[in-house]
Amino acid sequence: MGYDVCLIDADIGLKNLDLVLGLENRIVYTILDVVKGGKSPIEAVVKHKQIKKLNLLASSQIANKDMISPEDMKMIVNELSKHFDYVIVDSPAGIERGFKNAVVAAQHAIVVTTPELTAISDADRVIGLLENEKFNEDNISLIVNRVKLHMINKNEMLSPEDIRTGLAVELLGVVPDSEEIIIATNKGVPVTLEDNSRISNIFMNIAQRIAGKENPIENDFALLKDDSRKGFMGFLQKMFGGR
Amino acid sequence: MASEKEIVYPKFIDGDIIFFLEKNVTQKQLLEELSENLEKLGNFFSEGDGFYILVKNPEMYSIVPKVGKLAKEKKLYLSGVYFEDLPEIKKKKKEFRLSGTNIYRKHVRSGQILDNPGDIIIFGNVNQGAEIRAGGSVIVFGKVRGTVRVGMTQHKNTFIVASEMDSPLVEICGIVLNNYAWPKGPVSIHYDNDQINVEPIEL
Repeated sequence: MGYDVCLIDADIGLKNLDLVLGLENRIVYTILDVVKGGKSPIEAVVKHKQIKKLNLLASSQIANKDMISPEDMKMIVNELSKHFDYVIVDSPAGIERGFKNAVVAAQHAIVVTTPELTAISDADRVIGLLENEKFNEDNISLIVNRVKLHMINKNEMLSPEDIRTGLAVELLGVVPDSEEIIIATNKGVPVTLEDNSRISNIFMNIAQRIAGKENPIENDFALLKDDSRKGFMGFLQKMFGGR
Repeated sequence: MASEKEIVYPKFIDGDIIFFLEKNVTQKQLLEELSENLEKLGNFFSEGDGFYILVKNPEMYSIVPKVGKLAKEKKLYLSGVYFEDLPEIKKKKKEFRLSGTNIYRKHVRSGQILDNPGDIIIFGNVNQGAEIRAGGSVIVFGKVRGTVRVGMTQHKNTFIVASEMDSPLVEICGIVLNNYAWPKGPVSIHYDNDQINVEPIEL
């Protein structure tokens, strides 16, 4: 889509965005060097190998979350927002210091949950905490990850619609549980680089919605239903109700 | 409780709005306070509606024509006057204290607590893990899956009304309903004569 994007890995001490993007060998400075070592945020940013407009401010594995304060994070995001169209902060799990660091400078929050009751209860708590931090229904969105259509069809899993009704926030996207994502993550290649695959279309839909373009959520549901089981094996699986 | 210091406060009893006028206060103070209360409750009234007053000081009958005049100025009617206390038949009805009521137009999320010594009205869902604590009654226009505690200051005639009830724990005037099999659809839970009545209603 052509936007300049910077990712910030706010999971200090348990970093992994560099691995997901395959950038682990390129990192010179981390967020800790920016806060304690006097480097500017833009100096510490690393460009992606294939997607030139995608950048990462990596986290440090040796630091812990208390070494970075919400004020540091505000400074970093303010500085980076001068150079990039979108700054995306990857918040760590939990609701402690790391979460506070991630939300303090954000204008919009995207809550990612899975269709399990425990995860939805946690997501509800997080949305409540975001509301305490002056977020509201207009700037909180939801992504439902690891959706298994065959389980939804058998009423064994909550559907994204059920989750949207339960949590009462706007649905930004629905991501199916997919082996392609595991493979791409292990390879350190963004899954969107695979042209016209179902998964890359789903992520493209989400990106368009973030950019404010009209793209109804029904498109994601249609892609979910677009069963990936193709060919003779897929035909046999469908015939015999295999998963 | 802040609301107990008020010298004039409205209650919604059996479909009527009754303003309680406390004793040991001058007529002038009561009239000023009543005028302010009528202003605040402007949305509840439409032109030509009536209201009642309960004058706790039985000797202050001379206030009645003045309240009548005040009502006329606001294009309302003084429908009736009680002295000292409510009649027994009214006391048994559901009452809802309009002053000291907190109104929330949001969903109550897991981990959030809403606390009010008066009554609480919520336009939204009460999700699992949330808790509502009211000294008086609670009305929820949404689905309740969290904990609700009402009548915490041992009010009589407290109640819970919800569009849909699926709460694992409800406490009403000290009596606990744990994992109750709630009826489907709108529900009223009413404390009456040391008993709890759960009944489906139409909203």
